[in-house]
Amino acid sequence: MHCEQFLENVNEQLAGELPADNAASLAAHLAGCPACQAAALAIRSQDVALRLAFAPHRAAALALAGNVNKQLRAEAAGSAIVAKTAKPRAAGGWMALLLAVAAGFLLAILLFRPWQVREVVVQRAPQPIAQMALATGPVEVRQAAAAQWLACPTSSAIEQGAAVRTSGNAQCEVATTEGNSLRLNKNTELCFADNQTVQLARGQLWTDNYKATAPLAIESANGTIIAEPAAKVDMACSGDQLLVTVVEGEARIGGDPSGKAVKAGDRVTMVSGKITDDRRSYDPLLDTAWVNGLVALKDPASPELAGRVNNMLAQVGAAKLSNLYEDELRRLGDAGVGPLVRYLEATQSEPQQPRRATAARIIADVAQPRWIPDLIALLTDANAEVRAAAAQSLERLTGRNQGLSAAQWQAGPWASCAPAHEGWLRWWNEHRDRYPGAAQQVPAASAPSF
Amino acid sequence: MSDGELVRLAQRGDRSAYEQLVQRWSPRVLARCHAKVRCRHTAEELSQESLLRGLRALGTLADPEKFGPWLCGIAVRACLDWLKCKQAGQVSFGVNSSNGSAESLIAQPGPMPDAEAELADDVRQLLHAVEALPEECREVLLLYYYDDVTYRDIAALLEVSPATVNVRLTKARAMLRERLLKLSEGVKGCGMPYSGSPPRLA
Repeated sequence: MHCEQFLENVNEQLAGELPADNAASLAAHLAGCPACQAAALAIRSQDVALRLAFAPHRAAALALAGNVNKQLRAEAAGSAIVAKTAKPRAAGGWMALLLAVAAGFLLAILLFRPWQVREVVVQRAPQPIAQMALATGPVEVRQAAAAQWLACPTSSAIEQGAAVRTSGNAQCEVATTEGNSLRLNKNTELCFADNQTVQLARGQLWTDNYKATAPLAIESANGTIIAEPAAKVDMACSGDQLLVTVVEGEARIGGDPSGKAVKAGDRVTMVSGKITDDRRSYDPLLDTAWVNGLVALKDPASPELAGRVNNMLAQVGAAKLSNLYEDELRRLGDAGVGPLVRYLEATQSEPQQPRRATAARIIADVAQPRWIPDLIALLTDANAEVRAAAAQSLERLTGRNQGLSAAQWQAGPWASCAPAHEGWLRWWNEHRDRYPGAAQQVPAASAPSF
Repeated sequence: MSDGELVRLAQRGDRSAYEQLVQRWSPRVLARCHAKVRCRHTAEELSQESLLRGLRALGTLADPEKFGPWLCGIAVRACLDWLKCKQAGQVSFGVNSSNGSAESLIAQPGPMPDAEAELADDVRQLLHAVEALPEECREVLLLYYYDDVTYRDIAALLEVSPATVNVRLTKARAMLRERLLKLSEGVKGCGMPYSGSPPRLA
């Protein structure tokens, strides 16, 4: 097979359409053909760029469907009125018609009694109280008084009385007009009763009342939690129990006359409105790690993402179950690389911390091509493991090493590494346009001192 | 429920069944229209017309299981009519369009037209390059990225084999890369990207 045919296989593999028999021969060819390796990486990188570029188009398609269906319903309502008011012409000509009209008029007078003043109730359409901000998969909404569940794309308005549900592995985030951010885990259903009350029918919910000025009541079959403004609370329906973890701020048990507060770091179990277990959470951030996938989809410079990554990194090597934290960092994948790179840049004055080596190892394994310029900058780091991890990652992403292996980068000294570093800078200058999404320039680094 | 089952319900007067078909097929109809007219906003208007026409003409659909290709056929014909009118200098939309403006078609709140206006230059370049691809490559690429479709889905719509879909997609990606590289070579500056001070020897 020629390279051209292998590149067709790469495209098939990207689409999940490559037969299993061909996967092995493709892998073998890529291992021995640097040109195809580089082309394969460029194809994958381009695929990411295209998916991002088409996200607004996909949303527009869903919005189009919503608009068409709205028009269909409006047309149906219009034809129903026409159908109800149309009367067939009575047999017997115009006299019969006149008599029928007169009879109808008399009946209308007797039924509606216009001489009586009546209060006219104008039914307004329910007002939106929330908006779908983010979703990782299919999310549906059933607006108030509607029978059907319909697709709920991002930016969809959610009315008072509406219910939202996630299916499959989808998670979503909803922003309310009161300043609450509500995240639904997979297989979760939540009803928006009013501005300050939601009802968790099933699944798991995270609420962040960062901008709210009033408490939010979260009702469920096994109890009600009142999350105070600025609180971050996780609630999970598990069988006939409700598990509540307060990550920040404070929450109260609804309907409890003692007004017991559940404080940050506490984890309570409730059955039928009563607390049956009350303990300290081992680590609230680890207990609520399921939201990391959603946080990772937001702005790469999001303080929440940086905060979670830094907190998890701080526990690696320090906490008893530090492997759990490293696992979560790896699960974030490429989305977590930004905060890790910034951490390494900020701690260059303390080069020998083991934590820096851990951050570099994670970056080496999960970083995507858009981080190539930052990895080239890390080649000048004073920490040998950081340099080796950067070199290893560059070789994985580009199929090249500029004549210097990761082990050689680790060993130093700079004099022997400088030509390879120059080689990387030249290579990036020639190839950067093949990597949309990557910074054009390699970040300026302090002079190497190894 | 399959397309055929929903079509049969809709043919018996169940409008909610047609609404589900609209949800399911809007992305692919929009992709076909976008591929034909090379402008997303125009494609949205033509797609809306086609989806509404589809309901009115549903009684004429002989094989309910072939709803998708049939609906896309309506959309393609609408696009060809529009292109013909555009060539003749007369462009209008059917009475079912709201007021002819693209923004009014997007019923949901959100900054969609503004968000598109604010795309980074490189993303805008990428999308223009997609619209400049030859039609058969453009069609396949747009169908692939507008919706979660398999090669078999695309093949059924375009009446080609899945292998042909892959060949066209491969060609589309290669042409995009080449086009974007040529564009960037036209504006490339000179000088090294790294302007730090020379490294000290260890």
